[in-house]
Amino acid sequence: MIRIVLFWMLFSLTVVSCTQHIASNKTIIRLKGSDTMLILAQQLADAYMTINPEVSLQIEDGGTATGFTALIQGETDIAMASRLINPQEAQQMAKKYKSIGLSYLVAGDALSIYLNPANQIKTLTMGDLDLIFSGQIDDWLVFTDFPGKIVPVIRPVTSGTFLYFKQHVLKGKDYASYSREMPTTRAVTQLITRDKNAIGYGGFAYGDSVFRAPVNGVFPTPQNVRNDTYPLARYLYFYTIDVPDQQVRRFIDWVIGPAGQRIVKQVGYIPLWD
Amino acid sequence: MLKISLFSFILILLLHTTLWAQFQPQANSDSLKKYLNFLGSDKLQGRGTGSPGLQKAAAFISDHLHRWQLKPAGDNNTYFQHIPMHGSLPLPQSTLELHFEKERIYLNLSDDFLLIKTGVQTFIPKPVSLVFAGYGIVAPEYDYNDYLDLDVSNKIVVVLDGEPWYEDNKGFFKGNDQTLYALAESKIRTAISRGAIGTVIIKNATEQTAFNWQKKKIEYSFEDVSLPAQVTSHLGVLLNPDKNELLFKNAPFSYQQLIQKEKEHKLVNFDLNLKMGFNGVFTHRQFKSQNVVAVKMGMDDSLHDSYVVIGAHYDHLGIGIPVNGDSIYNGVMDNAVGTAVLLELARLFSRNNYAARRSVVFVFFCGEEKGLLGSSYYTDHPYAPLYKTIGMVNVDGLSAMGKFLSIIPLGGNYSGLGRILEELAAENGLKVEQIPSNMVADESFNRSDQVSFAQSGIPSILLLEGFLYETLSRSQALEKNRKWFENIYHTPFDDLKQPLDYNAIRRYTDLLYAYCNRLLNISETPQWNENAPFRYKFFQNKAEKR
Repeated sequence: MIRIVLFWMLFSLTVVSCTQHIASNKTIIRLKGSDTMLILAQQLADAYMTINPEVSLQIEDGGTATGFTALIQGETDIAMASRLINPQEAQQMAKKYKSIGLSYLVAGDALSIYLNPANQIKTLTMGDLDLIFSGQIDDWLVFTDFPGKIVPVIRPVTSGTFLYFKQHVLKGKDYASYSREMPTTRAVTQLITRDKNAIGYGGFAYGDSVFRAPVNGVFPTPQNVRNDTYPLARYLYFYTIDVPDQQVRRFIDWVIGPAGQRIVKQVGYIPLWD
Repeated sequence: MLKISLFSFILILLLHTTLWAQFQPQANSDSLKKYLNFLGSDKLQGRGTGSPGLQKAAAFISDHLHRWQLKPAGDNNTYFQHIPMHGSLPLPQSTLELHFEKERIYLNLSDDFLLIKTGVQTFIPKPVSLVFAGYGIVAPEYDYNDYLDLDVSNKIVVVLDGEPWYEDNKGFFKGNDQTLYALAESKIRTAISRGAIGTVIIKNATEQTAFNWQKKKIEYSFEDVSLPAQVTSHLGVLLNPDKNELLFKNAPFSYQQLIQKEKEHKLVNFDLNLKMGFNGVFTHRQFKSQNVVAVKMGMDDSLHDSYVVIGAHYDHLGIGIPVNGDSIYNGVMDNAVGTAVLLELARLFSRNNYAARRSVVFVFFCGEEKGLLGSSYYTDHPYAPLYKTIGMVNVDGLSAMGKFLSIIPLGGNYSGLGRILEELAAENGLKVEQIPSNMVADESFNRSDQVSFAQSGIPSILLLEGFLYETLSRSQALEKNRKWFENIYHTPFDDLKQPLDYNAIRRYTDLLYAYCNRLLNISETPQWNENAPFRYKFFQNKAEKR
């Protein structure tokens, strides 16, 4: 026997049923949120709709915060999140639904530091990243033989990755005032490929065109995430308000299952259950 | 006098005959002993969820089910239902920081504080303010609200363990019995719903037994395991009572003054003029653990598509903090013995010459000790649809103290399963006991896998031996039970060295066999009683054909 049990439904008086049915009797499942998860969600949706033609998945990015807002407003069935729900969001959800939200682990990610391949830097420490992104060091000369004004490239405040990086690397400090803010991870990597003084961050799956720098001497690889050596390992999540209806559950189960996790791997993220 | 004595003698003889007519010695003590000696042995390393020891136990169980030609009812025509799980364990370098105006104090994991939930959700890089929020309870039905006019957004709340208690008002909350509001997770969820970033639970000095720090250290030393789906959580801390005064160093009241106010029922909220940060270092892992599931289909045209689930959890705690040099938490009574009983029932029901009207599903659950994970997963992914599952009988923990003369049906008051059991007991001269005051009905029912089924709308029951014995007085039995829970429960001493009465285990198995046999063959479908809190879910299952 266990010591305590508290049920999911403690703060939930109703099971929230969000999915919609269009005239053709197709079930629509809406996903919105993390830009980091966009490619992953699109590929999961393509594969799922192929085997479940009666379901239509609608994917929209905009950042983790946008996903949570949409979830609370009832505008999405699943919020895609690269960070955990924050206290204000949970409070809003509780006020509206008497539920504080359910999270589902979907994939692992090595949050990667992107550099232009021409940059001489071969490794950075967590301390270096803190100094660079908080603006305490603003020239590459500190690390290399070549001067150059460092251009930190960051995501907007609605991004879960923005917040994750701020909390885990900057320990809550503000980003450098001269940071360049880009709306999507794709835009971050595009800027870095054009500017050899730029440095940014984002999901492992987006870093093909840039150099993904080792952190504390450890490369961002699935293996290094699994063995707990890469310091910026994180999870990617789906959120629902409460226990979702059957169609949404079935989709999430499939994502967590072998077929979904194979796609997680194909996209470049880390499957949690091989 | 002689007549009466003779009559009594005949009656006793008749009762005895009836008893053994019903309890035909179906179960085999040697088989039960064999199962138990394997499942409870050190070889299985305490059967922790996600451990090689539990896999060995799963293989042992499935080998037997296969030998008895029971149909696999797990994934892909196997006996195994593979359940994705996530494990997390805080490392000793995790520190809790108290930021006073001119001083910073670091508290150490295990010695000074424990984490109720571990993992990334507990991360607080920048120190935040602490505020005292009474018991941290909002209970509209008792017109009680610790958060009235209190803004805890982005703060950490400090709350007292337990719940309000009035000597002269036992109807307020539940008097001596605790409600769900007293649970740590309940306090945490309330704090989250109010926008708090963390919850610190401190000892209420009026509840002397609630905090034994050494026991708490052991309890929280095991890996925190969850399913991929989790309710939102945040930093949840249990503070060593030795550190309580520290928290109130800059507060308007000292801890002792606070406790005095609590005794006088004059608790107030206040700022502690202190900030707290948390730097957590954890190991994480993902793995799959297994429920082991088999079915024997019924033979009746009209009833074979209805199912009775008989379940028992086969996991325990695994390897933990050594006590007297022993670090293997074998979990013989919790619940190798229930697993052995279920195996023996599977053997009995699998016999070629046995045919029931309904179908029976045997489920050996993993992850029970981690929060009923296996049974929660099963009810989400059942072999047979929930609306076709008419009842669940759970086996979790026996006393095995001797020949019991009474039984306690946990959850029997909620559904027709209780009445059917009472009928069987009456036919066999067994007394049905009320649940003793130290085993509060709701709380005990909520502590094992039967509640996952009840929550899913399926009438469920846990049958326990009562406290009337042939060779023990009721007070002796109660005292033995109390001592077991105090000294053996969830310790390495719950092993094969403790005295076990295999005849008692066999007798319990026979009783359970008779009960399940009845459920499998009667035409009546057990219904929820009108007052049962789980009734609505049953109707939902039926309506949605879940």
